[in-house]
Parts: sequence; structure tokens; C-alpha cells
Amino acid sequence: MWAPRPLRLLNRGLRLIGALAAGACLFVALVAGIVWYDLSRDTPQTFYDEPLRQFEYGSTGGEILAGLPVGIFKALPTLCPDYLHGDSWSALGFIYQPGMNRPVGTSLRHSLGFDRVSLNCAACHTGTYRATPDSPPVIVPGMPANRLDLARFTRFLTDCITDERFNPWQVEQAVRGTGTHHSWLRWQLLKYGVVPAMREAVLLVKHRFRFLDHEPDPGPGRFDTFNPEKALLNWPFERIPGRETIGLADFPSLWLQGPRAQMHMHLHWDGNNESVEERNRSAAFGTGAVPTTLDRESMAFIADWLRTDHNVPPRYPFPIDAAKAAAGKSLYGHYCAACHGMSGRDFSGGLNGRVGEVTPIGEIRTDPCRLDNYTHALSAEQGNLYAAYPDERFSHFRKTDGYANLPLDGIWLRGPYLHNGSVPTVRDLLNPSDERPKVFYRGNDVIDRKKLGFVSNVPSEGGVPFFRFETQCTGPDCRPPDTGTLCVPGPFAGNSNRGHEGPAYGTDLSPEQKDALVEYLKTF
Amino acid sequence: MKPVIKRWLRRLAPWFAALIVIGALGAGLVWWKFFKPGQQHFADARGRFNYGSLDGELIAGLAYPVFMTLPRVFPDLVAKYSTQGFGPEKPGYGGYGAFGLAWEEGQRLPVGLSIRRLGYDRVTMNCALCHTASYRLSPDSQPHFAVGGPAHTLNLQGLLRFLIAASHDARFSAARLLPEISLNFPLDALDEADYAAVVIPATRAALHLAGRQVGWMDSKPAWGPGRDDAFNLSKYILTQSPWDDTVGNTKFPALWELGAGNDRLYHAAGEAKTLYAVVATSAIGVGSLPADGFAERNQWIEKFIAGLAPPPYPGKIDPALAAAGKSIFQARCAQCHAEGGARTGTVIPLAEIGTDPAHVRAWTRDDAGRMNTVVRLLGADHSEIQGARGGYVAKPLVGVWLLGPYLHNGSVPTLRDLLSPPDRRPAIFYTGYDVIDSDRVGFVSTGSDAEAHGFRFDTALRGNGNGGHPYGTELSDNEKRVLIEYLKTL
Repeated sequence: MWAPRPLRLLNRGLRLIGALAAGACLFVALVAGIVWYDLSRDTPQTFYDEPLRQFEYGSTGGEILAGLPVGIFKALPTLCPDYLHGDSWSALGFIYQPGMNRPVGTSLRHSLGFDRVSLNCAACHTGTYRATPDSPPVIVPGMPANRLDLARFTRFLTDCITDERFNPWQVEQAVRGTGTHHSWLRWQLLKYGVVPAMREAVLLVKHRFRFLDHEPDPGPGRFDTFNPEKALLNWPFERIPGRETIGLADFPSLWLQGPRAQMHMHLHWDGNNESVEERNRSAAFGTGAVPTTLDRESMAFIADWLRTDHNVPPRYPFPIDAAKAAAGKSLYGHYCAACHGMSGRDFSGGLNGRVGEVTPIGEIRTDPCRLDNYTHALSAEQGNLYAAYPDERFSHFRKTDGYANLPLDGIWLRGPYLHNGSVPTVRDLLNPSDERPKVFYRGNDVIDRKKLGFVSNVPSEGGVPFFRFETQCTGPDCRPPDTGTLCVPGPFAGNSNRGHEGPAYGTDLSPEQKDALVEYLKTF
Repeated sequence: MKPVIKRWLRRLAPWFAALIVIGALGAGLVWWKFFKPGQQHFADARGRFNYGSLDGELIAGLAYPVFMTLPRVFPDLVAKYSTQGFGPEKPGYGGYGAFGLAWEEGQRLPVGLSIRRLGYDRVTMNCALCHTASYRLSPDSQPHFAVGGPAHTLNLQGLLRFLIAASHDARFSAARLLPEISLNFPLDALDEADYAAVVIPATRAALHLAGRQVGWMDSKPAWGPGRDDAFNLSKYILTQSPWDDTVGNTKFPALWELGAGNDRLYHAAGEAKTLYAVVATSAIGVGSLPADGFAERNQWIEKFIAGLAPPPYPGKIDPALAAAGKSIFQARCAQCHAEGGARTGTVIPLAEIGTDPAHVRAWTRDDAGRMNTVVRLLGADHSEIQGARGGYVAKPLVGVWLLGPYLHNGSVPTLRDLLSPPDRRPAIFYTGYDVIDSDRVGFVSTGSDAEAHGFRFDTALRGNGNGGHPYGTELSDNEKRVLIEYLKTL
């Protein structure tokens, strides 16, 4: 069609603009599509062909809510070394294995645009031991994480992330320092999306976890188990009676879950649940996994692995005096087997077996704080957790009146002893409470072969102090130590080393007999 | 028809058809999202009684995902309204348990709350909310729950006030509730949209409306735990009668062995002649509409209740003392309080019984007439009730050890106090604390524990008078002791 020249030019120009606009639209749509795909992509790193690695490094789904972008996870120790008292996560007791660039007990998942790191079961349930201070540590999956200081980890995160250093520019600098590469777009997302979001999240956690400021420092190998669940339900801690505020407990071992499940043993220190799955989901809250984010495939895989015959404690690697152990065996059968099982593998307790059952607090008389921390009101309201998932909803939690009798598999790796980790060695536990150490050190992983447990009388190693554990208040202003069956809050409440004593518990055996018993327990 | 119109019709026909299809799809979606009913399944009759729906979801149902997250979003309001009027150690936390609801371990919600789907899961009340008694044998022991017993720990007014206050709080918004809900419930984009646009605003509006309907509560003495103002609730809400200055605060009664007497009158002042009428009107009171299944369900409840009995007294009973007490009971109490007694189940006139008259005055024959009209209009049969009969019904003392505090208004803390002359009964005591008082029989109502945990009950307030029922007050201390020992066996 003919048209005057100016009009022809205009026409051509319009077509060009139209084509450009269409191209731009297509480009924007493409970028938006890629960004959307990237942000909504949710892919965990898995090790389904290596069950043990899945336990050590697999995901619980916690990264979706609580995950740190891997660059930031690597950068935090260098960003805030002063809060860490060290320059790597190992300063908090995290364990590194050769061939893996992040500690045991951390998982990785691509979620909300970043590869994110969170904790998993293995963080609190993988420990180390050494034969001597000079020998290399042996990593034992399923063992209580005797060196991990989870409370310090929590404090470090809140301190560092609410510190003025944690701003977009210094975070970028620190993350770049770890050798992390990102596209320009992702750097913007990290600096102006992730950094403020992390500060928001940490402010919430800091507020919800304020109970940590009102109980004794857990130290390595311990944490508060059920106050976090109260935090999840947003209970007003200020209104909770002092008696119910202290929930300190030692990390338990995770070996031999199959036999435990088969016998319907009551799990947790106070035996408040007999369902392994519910116990796992409850613990998974601690890794950030909530009902809508739980990685069910991975959790089921890990739970299955925990139940296999491969999940057993290692044998005691040092010589055992066979004659002494034999003498100890008959003592064990008489004093211990009914509550703690026939051996380290046979959990039946004989005729009057009470393995996995709860011994009332009036009888066991150990520190009552952890027991009182778990209340009927909490067990009832837990019925609301996982409510949208009928097959997973919590329905087995119950309030008990004492502590559960646990099997002693791998007992040589489970010190310090009792639910609150208040007695450093087995031999000390066989003494009446007033002869047990009032103060000792936690966090050393050198085996104490004489008393069975970990070396507990060394205050520091290589200039790094171990955690000083005080079982009671000893200053001039202290009240006399409480011995009742109700928790009395105060300095070092929850740390008492009393109970599990008297003729029935073998504390009045002769020293030779006690030594024999210790020797036998090494075979567990 | 003109060809022009025909042509236009032919042209528009596909559009009409499309409109109809879209409309039908939309209606289907609305039905599916908001009205598709679900089924409940219970292992046994007790489960159905405790957690079964009375079909009140449409009128009184609160979205379960919203309901269950409210205490997590408003812990301050839980603390405030669950402890108002209570001592300093009353727990102000624990979700809905803070309001004294009986919460069994392993259950989604406390006894008396049903979850049933009507489009989405909705929470409603049922009979068991006010009729499950919670008791403990010592302060350190765990609670036991007695089906059909009076919920003497239930702070129903606090619970209502909490829900209403939450709905007026700025946090009651999709912005705050949705993130909390989505931690627990998987919501897709459509769910999020209808929670934000419909469910949350509608719940808020419903609670605002409820708040206006119970505004009269603020000018009357507090219900306190274990009581409500059932007849004023009906009067002001169901019949929309003008608010007056009456006070009808009355204890939740026990539902034990109600099947026995045939001619007995029900409710504190004989307002109902049949158990069915009590059940049907109470059901309407919690939002149950007389529709399909209404009568059958009520008959089921009636039958279930008829078989309910209290748990045996959990402490020790001295058989010799109890035997001695029995003869006193036969001589002095049986006429009004034994099954089959001449006056059992009849109204004892105010002039004779002398107990607090407020309840009787709160519900007149006219009030009953209006109520009956409304209930009839709604379509419920055999549900007539009547005005208060000028006095209070003498009831059999089934499970009397769990019925404290005593009298229709809960104004006398223990049986021993009830056997004291009115001027020597406690003027102030503490209710809602669930530890059994095995000495005076009732719940521990004085002393530091009761003061720290209980609700301060002031007998000087309107409707709270502790006078009257002077029977047995002149017995010797020993006679009172053996009589109380016998009463434990009932």
C-alpha cells in the first residue's frame, strides 16, 4: 500500500517499537519465570544410597523455615569471631569429617532461592571420643553430642545476627570471603531480602527462647527439651510457675531404636511418649521443621535407619578384665537388670522387668526439675500439633510421675550420667550423692577408663576451657541444697546430682564390687 | 416473535449458556469450599458425647485453624481473661486449657469442643463442655475427668471474653493469623485467598456480633468458674428481649442418673418438665438448628445421659461412720434428696427454702412463653419450657462429693459449710480449684493454695447469696461428721 514517505517512516518506527516491546515483554516473562522457578524450587540434598550419611547430613525440612544460606553459614564464624571464641564452628563442638565441607548434623536444601543449611538429628546425636588427649577423635553416630553446646550456638546466632556488623554490605563481604559466587540478582536478594529477614527471624527466636536466660547454662551435651515446645505454642514464660521453668536434659543416645520400639518403651527421660515417630517429629521442631515443611521422605528414611540392626554402639575399644567383669555381671543381674535390661543388647528385664517403665520421683529421687518442666497442660496442648495431618498428629504424649528406666547400650559413651548429666562417671554414680563430685568439667571427650565416662577433672585443654558444671549453688548466699521431689528454682537448679542411690541402687556396695560392676558395664 | 429479537436471542444464547455454566461452577466452588459437610467417627458413645457435633457449625462454628492458633497469637489475652478474678498463681497459659476446660491427653481440643467439616473444619461446643468435672486428689497429682459432672473449673465467661477481645484486636487479621496458620496447615493459594477474604473476616465479624449480644454481662456479677447465666443468655439472645437487671448466675448441674425419676422437674427452678426439653433447648443454645437429625440426636444424648453415673469417691470412707450417717440421712434428708423421696424432684418454694432468689426472678412465665414461640418457630417439637416455679428443685444427691460448691448458685463451698447456719458460712471463698477437700467434702476453697489458684467468690454480690437451706445446721458436730461420711458414698 502506498503512503507518503513520513507516514511510511512512522509506520516502520511503530513496528520496530512494537517488536522491541514484545521482545522486552518476553524477556521479562522469561526472567520472571526463571526467578519464580528458582524461588519455588525445593530440593534437598539426599544420600539415600548411604543411610548413615543421610542421618548425618540429610534434611528434616527445617531449612525452609530456619535455614541459613550456605554462604552466610560459612561466613558467620569469620564475621563474629569474638562471639564464637574461635574461628570455626568447631569452637561450639561441631564435628567436621574429611570430605565434607560442613559439620555433621547439618543439612542442605535449595529453598527460597538459596542453598540453605539447617541442623538435623545428628547434630545432637553424634559424638566423639578419644583414647588419650593426643589421639585423634573417633566420630560415633547415634552417640550423644557430648561436645556440642547448643545453647551457645543459639546465643551466637542471636548475638551475631542482631549485631551491627550483620548489615547487607558486611555480610556480602564476609560471604564473598568464603569463596561463594552468586549472580548479581542473587546478591541483591541476599543483601536486601535475606539479611533483613534473618534479623526479623532472630528477633522472634530471641524472644521466644528467652527461657534460656532464666535457667542454668546447659553447657555442652545438654539442652532444654520442652521449653522450646512451650515457645512454639507461645506460652507467656513470665507467668509460668518457677517450678515448671527448668527443662535441662542430657542428649540421649539414639542407638537400637528397633528393640525400643518393639518393647513400646517410654521415650524421653520422663517416659512421656512411646511412639518413636512422634518423638522424632517432636524433636524435628528443634531443627526448624514444622508440620507444613517436614521432609517426610527423609524423616521416614532416617527413622528406618535408626531401627536397623546397624544402628548399634561400638564395642568398648580398650581391654576389659574378664574376671572382674564376670564378678560384675552377677552384681548387675542382681541390682540393675530389672530396670536397665539383661545386657547392652538384651533389653528384657527378667521376671519383674521394668525396662522402659517410669520409676516415680519419690522412689528415684533424682533432680525433679526436668520432670516438673513437662506438665499436663503441655501434654494436652501438644494434641494440637500436626493437627492438619491425622496420621501424624501427636496423640501419645502423657504426663508421668517420674523418670524412665533406660537400657544401657553403649553406656561407656553416654556420660555424664543421669537425665541431667550431673554425675561425671559410672563409678561416681555408684557412690552416694554426697560423695559424688560437686563440680566437674564437661566437654572433654577423652575416655576415663577407670571410672567409665569422660575425663571430668581437667579444666582446660590447649588453653580452651571446658565447661564447669556445678551441681549445686555453693556461694555464701546459697540455700541448703534441696532434696525434695518438687523442683525449686534458683542458681543451678536442675543440676542436682542426687538420687538413684541407696542399697537398691548399689551405692553401698564395697569399692571392689563397684569396680567390678564398672568393668562389666564396659561390655555394653 | 419479531425476527430481530429472535436473531438477538440466537446471538446471545451462547453467552447466556456460558454465564449459567460459570455461575454453576462458582456456586459449586462456594459450596465445596464453605458448605460441604463432613462426617465424624467415634470409637464409642463416650467419644461422641465428648467430641461429637450438635450440628451448630453454620451458626456457631469457628474455623478450627483460626481457633487453634488464637492462643498462640494472643497469649497476653489468654493470660488476662483466664485469670481475671483469680488468685496470682492461676495458670494463664496452656491454650484453651487455661480456661479450665477438661483436656484429655492426645486430643486435638478439650472435652466439649467438636471439630466437624462444613466446607472447612469448624469448632463448636457440645454438652460435655459444661458437663465434665475435673478433679485431683492432691495438688501434685494429675486431673481426672468425670463425664457428666459439673464443669466447676470451666471459666466460660473468660473464654467468651477472650474470643471477643481477640476479635477486636489489631492482630486478628489475615496478616498475623495466616503465617501462624500456615505453619500448621498446608494452605494453597486458593485457601489463603478465602481465609484472607472470607474466613478470617467472617470469624471476626461473628465474634463482634457475639460481643454485642453479651454486652449485658459487664453490668452483672461475674459468672466465675463453673457457672453461667443460662436463662438470661436465652432471654437476651434467642428471644432478643430487652436487657433487664436480673441475675441468673447458676452452677452447671451434673447429668448423672437423670433417667430415674419420671415426674421430676429439671433445671434449678423447675423450668423444664422433661429431660428431652432440657437437651433440645440447650442444643439450640449452642447453635444447633432443628433440622434433619435434630430430634434423633437429642434422643441419643438423652439416652446416653440416662446411663451416666458418677465415679466412686476416690478417697477412704469409714464404713461404720457412713452407716451411722445413713440413718441421719434417712431421717433428715431423704424426703427431699433420696431417689423416690416424697418431695424429691419437686420445687421447694422460696419462702421455705430461703436460698438466693435471683435465679427465680430472672426467668418469668412471659420469658418462657417467648422462648417457646421462638423454639416452635425454629421447628423443634416437645421442647416447651416454663417460667421458674417460685423456688428451687430438690435434687437427688448423686455424686454429691463432686458437686461443690453447693446450692444452685454455688455459694456454699463444702458440705460441712452447708450444714452450718447461714451466718456462719464463709462470706468469701475460692472456687474453680480442683483439689478434693476430703475433710469438709467439696473442693479446697480456703487456704493459701485455693487463694492462689481459685476465683474469689463473694457471697455479697447479687445472685451469690449463701442463705437458706438451714436443714441439719443444728446437728451435733459428730452427727455432721457421720452424715458427711455417708454422703461420700452417694
